[in-house]
Amino acid sequence: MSEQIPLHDLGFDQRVERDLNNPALRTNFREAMDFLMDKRSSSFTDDVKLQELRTLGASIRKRALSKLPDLLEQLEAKLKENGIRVHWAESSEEANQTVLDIAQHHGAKTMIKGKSMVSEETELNEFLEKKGIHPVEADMGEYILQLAEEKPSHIVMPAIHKSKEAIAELFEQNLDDCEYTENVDALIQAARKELRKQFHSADIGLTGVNFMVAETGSLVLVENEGNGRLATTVPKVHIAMTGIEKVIEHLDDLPPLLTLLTNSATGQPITTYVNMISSPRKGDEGGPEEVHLVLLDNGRTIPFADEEMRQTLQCIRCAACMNHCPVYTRLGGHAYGTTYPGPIGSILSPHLLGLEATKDLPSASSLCGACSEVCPVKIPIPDLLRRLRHEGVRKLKKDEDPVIRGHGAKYTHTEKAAWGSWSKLYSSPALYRTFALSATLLRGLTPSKMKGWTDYRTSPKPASKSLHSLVKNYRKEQEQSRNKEAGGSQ
Amino acid sequence: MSIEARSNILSRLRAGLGDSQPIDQSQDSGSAASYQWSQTEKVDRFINVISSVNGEVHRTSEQGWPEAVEHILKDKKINQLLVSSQKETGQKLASRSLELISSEKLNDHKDKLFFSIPAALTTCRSAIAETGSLVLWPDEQEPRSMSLVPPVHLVLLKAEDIHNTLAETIHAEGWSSGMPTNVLLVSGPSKTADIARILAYGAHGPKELIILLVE
Ligand code: SF4
Repeated sequence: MSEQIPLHDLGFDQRVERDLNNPALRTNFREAMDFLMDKRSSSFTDDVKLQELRTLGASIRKRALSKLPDLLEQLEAKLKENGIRVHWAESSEEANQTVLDIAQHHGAKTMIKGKSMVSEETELNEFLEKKGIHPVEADMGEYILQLAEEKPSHIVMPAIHKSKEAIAELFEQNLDDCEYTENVDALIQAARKELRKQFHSADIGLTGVNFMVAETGSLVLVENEGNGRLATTVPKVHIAMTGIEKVIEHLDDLPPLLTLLTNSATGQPITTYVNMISSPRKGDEGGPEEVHLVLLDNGRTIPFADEEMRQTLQCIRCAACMNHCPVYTRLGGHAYGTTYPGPIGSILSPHLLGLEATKDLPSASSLCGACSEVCPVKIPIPDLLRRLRHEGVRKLKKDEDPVIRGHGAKYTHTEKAAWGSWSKLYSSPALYRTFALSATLLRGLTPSKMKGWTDYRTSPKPASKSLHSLVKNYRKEQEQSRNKEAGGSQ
Repeated sequence: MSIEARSNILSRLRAGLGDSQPIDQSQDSGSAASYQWSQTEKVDRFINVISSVNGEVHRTSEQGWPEAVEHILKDKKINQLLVSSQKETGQKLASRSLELISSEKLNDHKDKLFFSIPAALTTCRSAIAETGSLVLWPDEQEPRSMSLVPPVHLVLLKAEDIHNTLAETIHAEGWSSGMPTNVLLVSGPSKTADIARILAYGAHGPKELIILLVE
């Protein structure tokens, strides 16, 4: 597996600095996240029912993961029986190469894409462009970003950071006969017209997948626009691309997960389209002559091997965790620097990219727990963040098997030494007393600058008396007054 | 490449599971809400939900629907309709003053479909009250693109075909024992909120979804 570095040139701190100081961006995100949170809460009106459903959702995903290799084999056998070709890819490069091979086999020059975060993960567009194939994004959000040469900042609403005005300018510059307008209907119609031409002529349609059903060999795509339906209907070849974890056991498992996904994501009881594909076209019923599925690992087998971290793979990509995250809401998605931002990104990206490249992400959280409270499949995100923090500062013991790439990426001798002394101090009463005494006596000497801490906070000043001595004094006074009272009443 | 990748991935997954036991479905906890509405409740619920997302419902009868179709299209100044000549939809409309385009062999008329046909009428297999969804199984008479490409999509739905939930539909129609090429749940006209969260209809699919509910 190859090491990938996050997409941006700036370091994490610099990106955070940049985006925190962009008031327009912050307003966009604040308003958008408030909007999405409202949507979700107004659709889940009965909390008892919601909790029952979340419990079921978590059970279904845990069950699927508990037999993942068997389910993948069952899925593959079913799909093959139905006439869908299955390809396996260990890395992004392999997945991209597979897509290219299929495209070249058909002499394809153009590709129309439905929304696929996995193709963002593998940077398929960049790869194909270099090989002379021009992919066009058809999801409205993704299309806007392709024109703007930007990356998604949210996994459900990729262009949420763009203002209407910026999009109006973009369309004016890039679309034929599109004048500047802030009328959203007109903008959407302009894009629709342009993309219709692309759909009409594209050689290949490529999409992601929301769920794969092992029992029936079905690929399930969930969307509102119809880009996924067009991409899986019009071109002669359809390539679906997704992570190996997306499989579920039974068709029965689908309805509860669908309800959880669409309500959590956008507060819809169901999306406009749920598209279930189980084979290439038969006869004249329409649809592609060939359907391919590319199953991607790209690091997913790493958290799978650890029972606690395996829960990361329960995710159904609803984005509720980012919508409710106070950090994401303030930063937006780009500051994270990874394909998947927000809480889910912070627990997933370290496995996909290694902790070296993502060491700051597990710490980019206040551990407030809002994410795990809303997660429809009950992933304990804060626990996993803490676990990753731990793995990030831990050196592997001799002969110990790694549970992630980049163990100890955040390890420093100074920090290790500091915590070492800290724990000594706190486990020896005598040492602690001496320390507390000197800290209070010498409080005037506390440095006003402390690296890391005072960049964003004021320096702490120890109180003139420690809590211990305050309590001691208090007890003494109480005792004296009790003695006095006892003496007086005699 | 793919074969080697396959065996590597599967063996990593198997190693990752170690000796942990697969979980059986009987161990699932939690539950999904289930509903048992009366026929009238199902119809009301279906109409409410699909109307709330801009689906347009016309309540009509077995005899009345062809005329209703004619009226609806006349109001919209549409006089061409894509319809299957082999299904009851096309057959019952044959005597109406509409220009009918047969949906059979639609794949040979891609240009027309993409750039000129203004509306299509399809049947549907069933519907779902809980989520206000139509269940479509495209076939040779009503190919996939028929309900997708023209800007206006009309659907003929029989009230007795409305189920309570998707879960019930899957069971009642035995989906688990064999799925067709493509099953679609359609719950409203195509839409997007990708520009500044402002809702716009007719993103890529039909701008209008019109249901003729036969009671
Ligand atoms: S972690 Fe949970 S809340 Fe976040 S995207 Fe995944 S399923 Fe949704």
